Amino acid sequence: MLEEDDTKEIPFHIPAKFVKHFKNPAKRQFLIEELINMKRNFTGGTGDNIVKLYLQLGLKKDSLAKFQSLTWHKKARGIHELYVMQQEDVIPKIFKHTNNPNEFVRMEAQTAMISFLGFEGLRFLDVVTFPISDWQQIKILEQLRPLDVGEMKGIDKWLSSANDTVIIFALKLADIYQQFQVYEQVAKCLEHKEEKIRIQAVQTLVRIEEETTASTLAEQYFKEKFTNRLNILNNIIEIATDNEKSFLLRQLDDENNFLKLGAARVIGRCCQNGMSILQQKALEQPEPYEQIYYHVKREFGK
Amino acid sequence: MSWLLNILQAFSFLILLYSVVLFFFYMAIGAYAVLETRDYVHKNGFTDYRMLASSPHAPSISIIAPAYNEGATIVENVRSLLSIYYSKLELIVVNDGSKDDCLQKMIDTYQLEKIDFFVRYQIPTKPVRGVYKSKNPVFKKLIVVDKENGGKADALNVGINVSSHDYTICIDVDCILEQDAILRMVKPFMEETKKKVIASGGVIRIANSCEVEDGRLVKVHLPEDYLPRMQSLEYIRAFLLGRMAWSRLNGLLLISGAFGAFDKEVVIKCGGYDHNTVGEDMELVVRMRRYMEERKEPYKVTFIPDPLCWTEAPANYKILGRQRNRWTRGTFETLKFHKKLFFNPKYGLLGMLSYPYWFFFEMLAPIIEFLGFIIFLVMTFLGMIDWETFAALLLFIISFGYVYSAFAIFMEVTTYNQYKRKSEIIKLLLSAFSEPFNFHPFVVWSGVQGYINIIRKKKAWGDMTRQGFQKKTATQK
Repeated sequence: MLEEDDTKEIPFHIPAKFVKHFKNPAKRQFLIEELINMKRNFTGGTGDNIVKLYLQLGLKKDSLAKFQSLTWHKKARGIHELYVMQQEDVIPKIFKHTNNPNEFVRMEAQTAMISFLGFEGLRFLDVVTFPISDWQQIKILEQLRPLDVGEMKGIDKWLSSANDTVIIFALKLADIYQQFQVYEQVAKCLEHKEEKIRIQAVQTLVRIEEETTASTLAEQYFKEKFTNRLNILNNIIEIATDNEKSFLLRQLDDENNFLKLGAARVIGRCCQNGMSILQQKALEQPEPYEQIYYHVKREFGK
Repeated sequence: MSWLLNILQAFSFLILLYSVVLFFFYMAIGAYAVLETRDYVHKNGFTDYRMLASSPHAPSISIIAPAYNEGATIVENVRSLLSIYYSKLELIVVNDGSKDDCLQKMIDTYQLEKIDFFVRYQIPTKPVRGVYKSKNPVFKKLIVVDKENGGKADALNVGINVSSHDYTICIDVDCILEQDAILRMVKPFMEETKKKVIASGGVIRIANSCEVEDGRLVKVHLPEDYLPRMQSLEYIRAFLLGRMAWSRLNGLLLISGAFGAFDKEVVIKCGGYDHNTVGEDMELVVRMRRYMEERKEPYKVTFIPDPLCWTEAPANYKILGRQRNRWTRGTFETLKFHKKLFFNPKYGLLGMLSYPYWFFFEMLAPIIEFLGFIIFLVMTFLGMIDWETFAALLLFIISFGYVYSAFAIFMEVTTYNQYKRKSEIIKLLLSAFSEPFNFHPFVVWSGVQGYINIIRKKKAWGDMTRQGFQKKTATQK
């Protein structure tokens, strides 16, 4: 029945033996959950028919009642049901909850905005003051993935948000969707006091690189602690040239084995005669450079 | 003789006090577990985990599985772990100097070749003899490390040294994980914004009598044998009530070595697993918590109630006794290493509640119960027992224990309901009746033997001979 295309105007026929069950709230909730699961797996005509059936059975009223509930998990569930069932008339009401103090209500409201409006739904980033968890960020990025890239209005504003997680998320957007126009603001994030922001800024800068990016990161390296130092070495491998050779050779002598190997990988891959340099180092000081040399050689198949 | 009578009466009073406090702890644990489970179900009721599995933005995970003389089952075990659904995953199997053909079997089956690999010894370990990867891209997630024998903790540390990913999941190689186990385990690390999640534990369930095909659990059954069935009940009680309650309080001290996820950076900063204890899983969690407390960094140890990891439980008294003996020694050693925490307000809940609870009601429990029994015999001999009071108290304690077990079974049925047949639930409920007379005394006696070993300074791990799932499945078919 749900897979038929020509049912647009005609209501579905529901056998009476089923209708009697719809008075029971628990059975109605079970039905909503089944329809939600089906809707997640179907698009096109079948998906539309599922929504039609949801409306015909008056289940939207149930979802709205949950949405208006003061209990957080009911409210979150109500929002979830309404956006999966594409009830666009509630967009303005749901938007108000994108900065709800309860993280689960907030998360569902944010997810709903992307589900309804795609990239335009990101406008909640203008108003959100509560943190956006890594989980929620991935969820939104995955929601956006199949969509055509729209204009990212406001990304420059998000990059200077007072909410650190908004900055991190905006950096990820700039990275994934290569927003070259915000290079300067991204570079400015390297000065941010929050390490997580600086780590993401390094990754984004490499992705939207300019000629000076490698040298900027080499300078930044000395202001950082271990985690971001390693992050810089792991990322600079995409853009480094012989200009960074002296910087990298210095890091090859670092006490930390991770940084040694990180620098060796960049030298081996990006510098002219890089492998010869590593081989020479291995001859001069076999422990630990011989193993590092063979490790890099194997990794790059050189 | 009046001094003896005074001592016996004082001891009786202390035992009564101990039981009353424990009774209130159990009540609180039950209540907290209900609240935590309810919240967990509400929070995750409509979570779509599938999106994380293929996401390029998901955190990278290393599964570390130490293997020692696992030649009989290693190929199937690795196949099972390779089938896990997660894209940014590496599986590191550490061959801890096995004396059997464990390594060779992996080399042959998974077309492994020795590679040049620079091992960064951030945590000191026994030397690595070689690192192997497969020539076949189908097994690209697999890394096999061959090292000199150094014990489970040492093998896990080698895995951490070799790992290149952000989070590590340490498991027993013969565990069977659910397909979405990693997705569910990773979520707590990613959803917390105010505190750093340093470790996360998952429920361990008993796989004896379950049907396994190609390293996957296809049908769950309640264990047919008595001992594994009792352990099923014990695990349901411990995980669905105990761990959930402590998780709500952020007071978990133990994440089972069979299945636990850790923030690798914090593990390394703490120095990895300690190979001087047989309770390395608990010791690491306590050390990580202590590290965070001392640095005053907000942190959390989480626990998720989904049944994600299935393991074979000891099916005979000898092996079970060894396991419980080792657990007692592990708890004793861990609490001894970290005695500074005992009622130390500087460590907050860790020092004031978690540690003392473990000290009195986990570590000392076998000793107190055993001494209690001995003193009961002495008092009987001296005619000091008021039999009416004794019968009433005994009935109360047995009934309370039974109600507590029944409540745990009720929680299981209303949440994850793994045993679908009513007959299995009835069997489980009936098994609970025999616990105070058979299973529990044996566990207490094994704990006492653990203390005897501590006094004799025996440090053996004790072999954990497994029957293997393969054999079990075959017999069922």
